[in-house]
Amino acid sequence: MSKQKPIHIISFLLLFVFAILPLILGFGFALAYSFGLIGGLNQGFTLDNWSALFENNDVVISFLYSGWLAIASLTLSVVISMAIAIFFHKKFSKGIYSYLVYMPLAFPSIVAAFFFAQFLGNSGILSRICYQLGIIDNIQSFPNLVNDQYSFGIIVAQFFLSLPFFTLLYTGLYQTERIDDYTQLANSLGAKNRQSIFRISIPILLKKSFPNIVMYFIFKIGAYEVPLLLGRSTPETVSVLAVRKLQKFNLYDIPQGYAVAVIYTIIILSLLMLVLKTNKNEYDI
Amino acid sequence: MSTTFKKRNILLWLLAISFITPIITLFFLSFSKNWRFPAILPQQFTFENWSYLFFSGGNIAPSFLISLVIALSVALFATLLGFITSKYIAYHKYRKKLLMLTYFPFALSPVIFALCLKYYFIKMSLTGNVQGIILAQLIIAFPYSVIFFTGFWNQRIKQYEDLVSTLGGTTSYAFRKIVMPIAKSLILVCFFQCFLISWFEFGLTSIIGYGKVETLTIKVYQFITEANIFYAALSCCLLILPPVILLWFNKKFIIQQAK
Amino acid sequence: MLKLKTLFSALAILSLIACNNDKKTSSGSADINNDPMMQQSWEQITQKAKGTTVTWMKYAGDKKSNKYIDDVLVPKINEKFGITLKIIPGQGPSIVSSIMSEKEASVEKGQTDMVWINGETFFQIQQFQGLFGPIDYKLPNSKFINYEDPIIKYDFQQEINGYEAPWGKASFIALTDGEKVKNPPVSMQDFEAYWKANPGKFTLSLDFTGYTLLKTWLIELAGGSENLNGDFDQKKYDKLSNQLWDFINRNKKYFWKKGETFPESAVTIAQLYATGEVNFGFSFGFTAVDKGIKEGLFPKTTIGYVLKPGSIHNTSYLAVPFNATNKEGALVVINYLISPEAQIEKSDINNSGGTPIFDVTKLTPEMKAKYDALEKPKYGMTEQEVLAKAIVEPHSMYMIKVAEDFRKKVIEKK
Repeated sequence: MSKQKPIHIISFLLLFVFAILPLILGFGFALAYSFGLIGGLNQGFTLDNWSALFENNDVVISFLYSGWLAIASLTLSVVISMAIAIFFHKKFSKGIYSYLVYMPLAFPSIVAAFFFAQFLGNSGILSRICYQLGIIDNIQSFPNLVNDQYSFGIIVAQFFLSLPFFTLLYTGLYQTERIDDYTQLANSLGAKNRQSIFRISIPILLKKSFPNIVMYFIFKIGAYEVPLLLGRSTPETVSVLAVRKLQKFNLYDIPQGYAVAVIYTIIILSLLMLVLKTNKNEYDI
Repeated sequence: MSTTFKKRNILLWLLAISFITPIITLFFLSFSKNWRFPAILPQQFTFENWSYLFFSGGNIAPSFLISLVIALSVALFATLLGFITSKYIAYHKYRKKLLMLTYFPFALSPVIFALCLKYYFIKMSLTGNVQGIILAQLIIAFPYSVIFFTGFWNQRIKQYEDLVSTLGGTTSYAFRKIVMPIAKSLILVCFFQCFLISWFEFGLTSIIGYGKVETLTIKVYQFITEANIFYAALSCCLLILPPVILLWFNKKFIIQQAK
Repeated sequence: MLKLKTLFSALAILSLIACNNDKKTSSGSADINNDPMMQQSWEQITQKAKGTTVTWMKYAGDKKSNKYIDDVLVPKINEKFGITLKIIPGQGPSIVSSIMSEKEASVEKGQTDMVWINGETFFQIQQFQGLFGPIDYKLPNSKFINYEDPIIKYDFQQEINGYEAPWGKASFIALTDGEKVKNPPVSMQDFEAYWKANPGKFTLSLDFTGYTLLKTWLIELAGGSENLNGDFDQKKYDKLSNQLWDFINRNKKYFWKKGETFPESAVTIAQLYATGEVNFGFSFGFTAVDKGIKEGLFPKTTIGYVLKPGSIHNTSYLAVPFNATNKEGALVVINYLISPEAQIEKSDINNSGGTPIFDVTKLTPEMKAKYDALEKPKYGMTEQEVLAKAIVEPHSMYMIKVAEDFRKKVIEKK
């Protein structure tokens, strides 16, 4: 095929303008700003912003916290959706359940966060039900489930949002990978149900879905709306921290906010490169 | 055996309830007034919220329309341009490298990405207007669409196309008669996916839109910050409505969602 | 890698040039604005404003006042001046950052035409000359305002120099349920005792309102507001704030959710107070109690009161960003908003509530009668009671520092 075809030039231009250029420009801007090269209140090259950022370990904590939240909610989703695929794959392939399980896909993150705040909050629905049932006798006896120490609210909301995605993935894989055939074979060769689940079904599903899990992990590290509404004042996830530094109170925090953006971008892109490189079969979304 | 069956059913019912509760709750809240602790049901059900927000001053209808216009435009452009570009990438000798570059903007947190790009959008007078938001959302939706379609352009399609040209058919003939019929349903899926990416977007929209372009997600956040849970619930209902209809209408359009 | 580096430096240089372009605009504190736009007569300005849209960025956390603006003010301004008033929500910090981003990008036609600000927001915007002005002398309704009144002349101890037009006065008060809290705590000592006896019933918000409470305590520690007058004093601040953080850190385990998290805004605290999760709210304006009760949010037994050092009293203002696209329209709207007519309407507790900014002695008898006829608050304190205990705002830097350190030294401290 000849390189000069106009459609190829257009395609390349599109790719450049919408995907490559924004990345270079955005990253370049954040980098330059964090080193004081640009910006209304900056006065030339300096390392001060970076050293100020690492004066305490907030940033490190913030990254670890974001990662932890992503892993916690992912683990829940993967375990439950795998169980659904293994035990209920027939029920979920058609009929009412096949509709219900996809309901969360109709929820934007901000709506899910709002709902869980109303549902799990101290004056929320669950708390009211407990009160009416006589389980608690005042609003304060209800445990903190949102804006809480263990980030319960965030994890539940993220779990809710990601469950259909994984259920879909695993019920699909269950069929395409012909797991039923394998387990039947194993069972006929004398394997117990348990054995075939742990030795066959789970390993196959996990292996096949690994790239999806990592991709999802990458997305969830950057989560914004859910931790914004259901999180505590500290620790903050990376997105919340960056936005606070860039948009709140102290103007002299702005370069630090861009430094956070730089670190975040580097981490995400390296992770992504790692997944895409190690994964020979291309990953489809 | 029968007890495990029952247990299973209970589990299923629990799952079903947990999926349906949010929708019912939000719907009820949107018709409520005065919902004081510890009452489970609000003291008052009313059409006031809906009628105020839709008919007198509350301007939720324009928000719905703006969101719709933005989401449809983003879906249209992203699908169309992504379809074209994906072919270029798929048959390119640096396919893997190009694909990786495409993944980058898609994987970043939209809100952080938007903060880094805000400067350029301001420079181009693309903040606070619908065009700007469409463009900004394309930066996420377009890569999605490219990645989505890259898998489509496989050896089989190429062989079909080659076959047509060996038999003397033109490229456009191959496109119309071979590629399009195979791609049609995928294009639809991609269109709805991109629609949802845009329809659900909040972080990036809030930064590039400046609060001036009041999409539904922006409205929800505004109502939450003024602690107006009934209006917030109402806006949530409007946000959920189109995807639920899509889901009911044909779930294959929606189930490919990744983000 | 080398290529990448060159690219970045090229980018940086490009952006630098862009930023340097307009360091010279807006020339400080001249009494008269030489901008050609300001040479027009008021009639010309009003004429030009007709049929335009004015974008107003303001804090929009108050449901009732939002509704008043949407349902009453916007239609009225359209009817009177043919101007479409568009509100976009934005709190102090986001106003600052949006004007600053435009300044950095040297945008000549900005997104916002007017903003509602005060204190540290004004201070920060003026650090990069982000406002257009002076404007006050051009507004016909300025004649009802006494610009020499210190509460108007100084915004958090900084002279406004005509760059802001006053829109509302506010005084910081605490509110509580008189039924539940028989002897409301007034001093820090009282609070400490109360917290220990009633754990979980108190919190403060990470916004303007919460930081004002912290400043009130700073003033108490300083032994009176007069001790914090004048420019920001780092030494004094360090000494007093250390005491303050110590006071909070040793007590925060008695706060709501054990002091491990704080609500983002006073609106949330009002909700928590309404559901009985906490026993105290804080607000600007003696009318807050009545508004809350009228809304059905607060119990009828809610009372408002002033803390020991007094009620921090400040004015909030309207201003025009340096690059406002529709400066004429903004001036017309501002002029209307500071008029006695609009001020009286706004002060109505059925609308926004609060204290008007005009000088009562300058009102015509009819205006005065109208003002006096406003519904008086039934539950809260009267204006006179609050004003008797009014104290001035310390310098903006105290607010900025308190906000920053509260996060560093209280929230993030394990």
